[in-house]
Amino acid sequence: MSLLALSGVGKRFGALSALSNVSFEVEEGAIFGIIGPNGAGKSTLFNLLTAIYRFDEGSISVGGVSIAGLSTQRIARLGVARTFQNLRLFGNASALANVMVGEHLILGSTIFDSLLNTGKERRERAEAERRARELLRFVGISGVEEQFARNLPYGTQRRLEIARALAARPRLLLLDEPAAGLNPSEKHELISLIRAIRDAGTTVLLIEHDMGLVMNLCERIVVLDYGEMIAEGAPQEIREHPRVIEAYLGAPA
Amino acid sequence: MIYTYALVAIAACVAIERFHNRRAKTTIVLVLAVFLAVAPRFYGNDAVFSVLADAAVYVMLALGLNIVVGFAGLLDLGYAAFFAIGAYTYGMLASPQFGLHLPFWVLLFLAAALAALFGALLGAPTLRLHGDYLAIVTLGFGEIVPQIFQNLTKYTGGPNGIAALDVPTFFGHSFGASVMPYYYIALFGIAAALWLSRNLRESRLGRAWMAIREDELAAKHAGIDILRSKLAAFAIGASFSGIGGVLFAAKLALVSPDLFGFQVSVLIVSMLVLGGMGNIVGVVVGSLLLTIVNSALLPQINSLVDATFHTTVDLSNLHFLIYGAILVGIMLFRPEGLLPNRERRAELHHAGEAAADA
Repeated sequence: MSLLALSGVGKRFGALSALSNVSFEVEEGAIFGIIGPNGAGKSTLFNLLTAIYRFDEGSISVGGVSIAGLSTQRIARLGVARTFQNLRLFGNASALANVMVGEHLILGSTIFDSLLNTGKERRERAEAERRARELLRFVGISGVEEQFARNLPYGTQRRLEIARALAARPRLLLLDEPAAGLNPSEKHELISLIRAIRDAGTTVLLIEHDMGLVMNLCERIVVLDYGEMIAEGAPQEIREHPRVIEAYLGAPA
Repeated sequence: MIYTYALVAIAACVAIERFHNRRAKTTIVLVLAVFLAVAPRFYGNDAVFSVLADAAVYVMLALGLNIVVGFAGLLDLGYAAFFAIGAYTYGMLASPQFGLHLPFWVLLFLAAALAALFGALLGAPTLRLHGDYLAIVTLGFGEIVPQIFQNLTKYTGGPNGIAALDVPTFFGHSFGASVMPYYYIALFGIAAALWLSRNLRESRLGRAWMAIREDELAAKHAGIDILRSKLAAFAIGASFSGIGGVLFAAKLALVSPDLFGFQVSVLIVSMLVLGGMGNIVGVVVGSLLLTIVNSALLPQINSLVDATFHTTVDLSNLHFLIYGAILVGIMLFRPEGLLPNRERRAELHHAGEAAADA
């Protein structure tokens, strides 16, 4: 069974059809790409996956569970974590605290544990902190633990956001343009990081504009244009697909 | 005399902020606790300890509001409502009003629970509101609650309130007319409030509040239950002021609706702003300073003016002017408060730089 399944998904904003009839499946353990020109509906699709918007048609399921009507927080519980196109870090908190917030779902201390600083709370905090440091090392930014997120260089912030998303030990990680604003060497490192994330057992679904990166990294790609799915396939198929070429380069004269 | 106590406490708070060594901090806290507990035997009088006991109640209120505003970032302008609920709990259940004379110690906990309940009830309708909208709705609740107490004449004595409240006893010993028991209970209350505040700040719930304060959407995506976390902030914050309300009412032996008006909510918010919102020690300093200004400095200035010019003016009408001046000054010269935490300092200074860049 596939980890993520979309079937006939549609979303309208008033008279505008932002997405229509989108269907694809992401297998567990895949690195899956979504590409398309600006305004194609890629970010809208992510926003449907985490219930920022509700879809009007079709169905979406994560691990066999339908997410129709579920809240963002419930979907997070199903094992979906994401990063944002425009970073949404907790700017006035340390990098370490950012990642520890990401661990919220894997900790079990209750309000009373928090109030009374019980043994459970203290043990969990120590564990959470240790794991957060480990994650910062994993994404390649150890050393910034105590710095405020907003004071970090842009590339580091991107990685910090990935670390925060990974902290919940998601089954499915959604990356919204993870390479935006990165220089070539940072992009190169990002590719190895995403592969390492997948090898550690997390399925990755990403939106990206950098075609080289997507072709290099993703095993399967969906192409959106004006809210419609115009192609799906392996990188090689996508590269040669006439409708994709048309969408990106315009129709042949 | 009152200034000696206030200055010692404030100096200790500043020292706690300056030292980063855990041991040094613990030592200062212990020395301060021993000083505050023992010094009254040798130094001071009932008038001084009355003011100090009031100051201690305000410190508790400010620490409670700090959980809502400072930790969870929910601007609550009606916090005095929970102070009123705490005070009226004692007023109605330990007085001739209904002939119920429940013990003070039971009512301390009952008031905390009731205030927490009302904190959650009044918080519930505001959960989806942010910023200005939230502030205005809470302001409305802050006005409604004293109005209810004022108009339920049958149960609350209406505008006159309830007088002749029971004098608490401790294992059969009446507190009598002494203010010392209130002083000591309030000290104990502050210690508890400080301990709980510190626990919360470092906890899973505290981190969830930080996330909500910083970016609610990102917090949701981390799986944080926004509604529950906000309700917890409202309830825990309110419970502190429920206890403060019982102490206040028992000490005054009186409750009336005009004691819990908007100016009380504003006063407590001012304490947070002055001291440094979000920072536990800063909040203590802010509330001590404002209470001392309010109940010691201003009356003294008043009598000084009267003695100098042979007048009988009442400067208490100028209190708001003086608060206003203090707040404007703080906002201009130290917007993060006197003793801010690292986060808030960064936030406001960053905002300043961004404005300068633009």
